[in-house]
Amino acid sequence: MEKLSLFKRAIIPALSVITAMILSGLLYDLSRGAGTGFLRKAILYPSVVIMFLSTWLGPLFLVPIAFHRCAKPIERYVAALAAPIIWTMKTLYYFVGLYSVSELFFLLFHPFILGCIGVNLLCVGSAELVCRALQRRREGKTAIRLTDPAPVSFFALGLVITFLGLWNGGHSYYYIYMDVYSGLFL
Amino acid sequence: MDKERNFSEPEAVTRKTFLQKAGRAALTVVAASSLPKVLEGRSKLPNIIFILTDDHRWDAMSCMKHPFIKTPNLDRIAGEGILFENSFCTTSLCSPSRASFLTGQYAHRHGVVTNHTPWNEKNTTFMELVKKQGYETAFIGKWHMPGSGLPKLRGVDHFVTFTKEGGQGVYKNCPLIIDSVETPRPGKYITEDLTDFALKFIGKKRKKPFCMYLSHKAAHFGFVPPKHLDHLYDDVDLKLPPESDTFITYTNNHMFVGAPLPMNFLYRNYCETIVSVDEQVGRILKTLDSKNLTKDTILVYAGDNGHFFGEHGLYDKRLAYEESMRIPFMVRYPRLIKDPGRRAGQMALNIDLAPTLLDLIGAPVPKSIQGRSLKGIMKSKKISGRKSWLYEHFPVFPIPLPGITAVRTKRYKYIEYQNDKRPREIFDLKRDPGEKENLYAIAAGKKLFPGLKKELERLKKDTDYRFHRHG
Repeated sequence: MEKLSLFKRAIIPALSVITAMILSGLLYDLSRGAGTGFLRKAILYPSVVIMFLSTWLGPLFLVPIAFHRCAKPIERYVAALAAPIIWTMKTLYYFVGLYSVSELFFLLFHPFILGCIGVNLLCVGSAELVCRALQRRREGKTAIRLTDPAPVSFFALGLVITFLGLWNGGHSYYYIYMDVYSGLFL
Repeated sequence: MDKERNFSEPEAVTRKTFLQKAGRAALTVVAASSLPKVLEGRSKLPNIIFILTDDHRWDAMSCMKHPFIKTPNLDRIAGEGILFENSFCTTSLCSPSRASFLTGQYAHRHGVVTNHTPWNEKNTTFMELVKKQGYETAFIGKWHMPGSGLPKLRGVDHFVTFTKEGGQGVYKNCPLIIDSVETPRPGKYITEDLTDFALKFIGKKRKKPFCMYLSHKAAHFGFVPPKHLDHLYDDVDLKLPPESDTFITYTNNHMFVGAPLPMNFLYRNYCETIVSVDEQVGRILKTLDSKNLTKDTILVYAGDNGHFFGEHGLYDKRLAYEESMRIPFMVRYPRLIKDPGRRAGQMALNIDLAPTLLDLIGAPVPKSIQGRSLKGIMKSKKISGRKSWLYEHFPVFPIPLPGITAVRTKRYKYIEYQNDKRPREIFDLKRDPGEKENLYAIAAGKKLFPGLKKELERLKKDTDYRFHRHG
């Protein structure tokens, strides 16, 4: 494939996911004004699905596209994690002015914030490993290293975080989290 | 003495015999004269039962015309007592509201400003004051106020509670701490289990009057109905507000309150859980009837705070809108209430419970209590009630909501947010009961603002308001 510019191989895919995340959120909020009939449902359900996919599973789409466009590994990882990082920053913004800086930092470990990052890491790692496996199958085992430290680490870390978030329906991690909060801040 | 005395012959009266008989006669007279006082004493001091539920919306009862929930037992309390139609919690959050019920004080006074700030052992509860009047007391159920372990709870003879999941408990197999002994409860459904303890306490043979605080976990999130009620409302039209949708629990930061399930599904389970509460209340009513205690028992039913299910696109509580701050509150006391079934429109607050109960039993009401007795309103519908009151909410980690203060009058509401993190709001509740139109920035609101702002500041000063940064 002809070597594409950084903009085309990494930035456009990242912007696509980010745009989908923002637009779907706006559409979701706007859907409230569309009554209760078919039009409301036609806006509501797609916007919710796209919100969820772009925020939590974006790398599953973005990594293969960027991989196919010959983006470098670091470019793929940054592009894939851009949307969840923007979501995290947006979410933390709502807490600014209510809690201290150290509490804001502690929020990064909140089940949902950490969970979002964790699931995205799991997706980056999974997608990356699949893409590498497929390339090796097409071009031979020497074409690309499968178990590169980065994707393996993302996969492993993402798996651990996801497991913690789902353990006992999320209750166990949450209560540990809040106990630590009480010990540190109250 | 001759053992074979012939009983047909009259007994000779000796001095000893005379003194013995006179003594017995005197004792009989004394006993007879004191008996009416003892009986009178028992009926003078009524029994007290306070049933507190969790997140029970003010309109989630059939007597409040809910579209499908059937609550015949709660309706009975309303029909035989007084239903305070305009009842509110002063902070819409479990622990602060519960502490307000117990102490008769605002959260900023008793100190339990969030679900994380510990209970102050120096706080005086109405249980302690009632106990001083000679009552046997019991606290059964959800305590849910943090601190180092469970409190000593002065004035409580029997304490049955739970600490699982931070004091929230679980609906099934919830271990209980029964008078300091942790006891597994396999196979038990918590609302029924707590009611069993309540019935046992009511049924005890006693000479003193009793005061029982029955505090349910239901209908808090988890929303797990008992097996026989599960799926009861699977097919009903929920009639949720038009701005509602089932994804609300996932969007706009609602996930931070920790209910990651579709809202419509949760609402069905919530309604089924309310029905189970009603069933258990029915067991208590039946027991009171069977033991002839109904007339001499003050029975109060209330919820600790309300709950959004889609109104304003919201889930959970905390905010100062009606669905969050309104609570069910009804009192049945046949000996006092001469017009049972009345719906009182006067505004009643959670902090009014303590002074009301103390007033009803003739006990002094300490000056530290900030609520007002509702006894006058219970006796006569002509009493006008309060004109306004203060609502307060403090930031509670990890919820992205600022501190809130609001003044609620009979017709209007004015809401301010910490550091103006959200726009100020004024609502005309008569014209706009759904609080859809914020008047603050328009001409109508500008006219109302000075008076409402002045009233808010007055209430803050009168209640010695102090902002608590977080908890």
